[in-house]
Amino acid sequence: MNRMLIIGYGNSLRADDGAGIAAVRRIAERYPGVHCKMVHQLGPELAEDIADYKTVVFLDASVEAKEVTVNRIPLPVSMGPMHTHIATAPGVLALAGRLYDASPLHAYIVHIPASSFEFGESCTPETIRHIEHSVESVGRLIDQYAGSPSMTKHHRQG
Amino acid sequence: MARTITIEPVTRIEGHAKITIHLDDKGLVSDARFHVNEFRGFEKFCEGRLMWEMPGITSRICGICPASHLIASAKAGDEILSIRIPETAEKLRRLITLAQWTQSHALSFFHLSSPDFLLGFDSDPVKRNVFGLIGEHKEFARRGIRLRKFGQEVIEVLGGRKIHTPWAVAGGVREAFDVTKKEHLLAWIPEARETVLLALETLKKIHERYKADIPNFGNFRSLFVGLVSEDGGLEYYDGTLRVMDGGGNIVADKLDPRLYQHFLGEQSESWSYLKFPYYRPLGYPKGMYRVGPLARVNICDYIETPLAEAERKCFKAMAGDADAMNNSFYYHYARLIELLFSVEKIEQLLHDPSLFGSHIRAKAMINRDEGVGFCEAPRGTLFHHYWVNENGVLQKVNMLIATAQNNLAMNRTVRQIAMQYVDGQSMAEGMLNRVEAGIRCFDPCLSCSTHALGQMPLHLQLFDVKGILLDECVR
Repeated sequence: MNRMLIIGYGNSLRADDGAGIAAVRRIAERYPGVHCKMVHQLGPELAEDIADYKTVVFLDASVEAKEVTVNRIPLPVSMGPMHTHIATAPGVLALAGRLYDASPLHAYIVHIPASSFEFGESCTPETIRHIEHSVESVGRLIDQYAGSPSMTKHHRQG
Repeated sequence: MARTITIEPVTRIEGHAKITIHLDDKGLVSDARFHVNEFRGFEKFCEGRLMWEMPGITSRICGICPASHLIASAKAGDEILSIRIPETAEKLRRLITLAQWTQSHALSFFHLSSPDFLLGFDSDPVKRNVFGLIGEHKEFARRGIRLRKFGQEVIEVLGGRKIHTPWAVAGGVREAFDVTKKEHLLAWIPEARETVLLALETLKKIHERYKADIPNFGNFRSLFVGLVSEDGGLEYYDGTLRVMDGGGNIVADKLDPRLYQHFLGEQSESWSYLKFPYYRPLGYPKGMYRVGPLARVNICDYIETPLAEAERKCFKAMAGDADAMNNSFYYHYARLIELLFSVEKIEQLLHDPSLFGSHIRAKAMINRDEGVGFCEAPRGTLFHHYWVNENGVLQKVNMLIATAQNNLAMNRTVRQIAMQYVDGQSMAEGMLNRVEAGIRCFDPCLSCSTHALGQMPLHLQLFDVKGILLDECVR
């Protein structure tokens, strides 16, 4: 079983909606030993991927959040509604448990405050600031759950 | 009292719609309509953009079949440049089109329609979804998800990402095939083929299980339209259009798809954002036609891969060799035949050395002020038609989408099922699900055809003839 998977999702052509992807892109640069995925939307296919990891962290843009929030997703997750277009992080975790009899031991969802969802490939300055904070928050999770020296080297240097 | 039953939104389809069922004074169905109540207007806001940007922009129309829009758009660009693309580029474009069929058809059969078939039309609607399917048929569901993943893997290897890749461009493609990924994709083939064969075996049992229901699932004569290869084989990327009637007679053949507006008209109705295309020689609405898997398997003379061809012959025998298969329920069967073909053909292409060439793009300036790109999207023939100025700036855009072309037939299907199953004195859930399932036969993608997406609980309303709400239920 692999240690840790970081998943960022959102539409990178709709400004702040791509905050999760932008954050994971930075995480991938800073922590090359950690497995990262950037996807437009969550789908059932991710269940197979996450079933293979001990810790999974999801990053998404949020209009409700005022600051970066890191929330633990209680496991195991019970099955709930899921659609092929719109899946949730708990939904994918539940699917992994049901389909593969395997579930991560720890799961977190990081919400990055977002305000503009207009057309555009850049996030707003405020959301860029929050993206930096989210990278730091996920860095702490990496130290906690995937903390081999090779994985944290870049973080310490950074 | 005359009443109207509304099913809104329709569930387990790609997009947002409602169905209204109109009852007469005796409580019998007098009419039923499939309304598409979303609107995005891609054609309008593409005006003023550069022709070169269009593949990347239009692939955003849909999260399910972006590669089909990508290919149709790039082909429209080829026409505007007046060039013939390199052989390798065409093979690569063919490969991504087949991968698109694979992931979309797997989604339709395993995720969207199987819950009805394997759990039953009358089963608890709370459980009648992909999760319920996992509960009862875990291995079947797991295989379906992996089959879709295979299609997405091929798309990702070619385009760099699973959806919305801007990989194809006017003149060819941006990136050559990474040959180091060849074995990775080939390793998927045995499992993918086995899964499709399992699905076919399962579907044949479903045909037996629902043999009383199937004759009422959109069983009527119509025209069928689609691309065929030069010698009449199943085609997905190029070729010419063939029109067949419900009796299996070819009424038009070798039609140039670039001239689609000469023989395909589009009618609007006030109650839906989805247009109603029709075959011009027969007029509206008599020129109703169907596109997509049922049409393609009906109109072709053969399929070039052996397992799919064997299944096509079974399909034809079921229809009666002289006739077309007119029952919309058999869209599912045709879809699985195409899935089998896709897996077989992907394997063939991966063994084709010309797939791995390095000459992948031809270049030219704007040489025409108009171009039509076309291909067979999972749901049917797709046309992108662009008009540009001398700088390649779009002056006008028309997209004729597969789902829209099935609009008249979907409405006819809904009406037929409603007349068979809807009793005005009651609104049994399983009965209403059959009406929805009739729509799912066509696997409509409303995100494409008007262009949006939504989450779809079932909302049912009962109105009297004056529009006063009499009853309502939500699930």
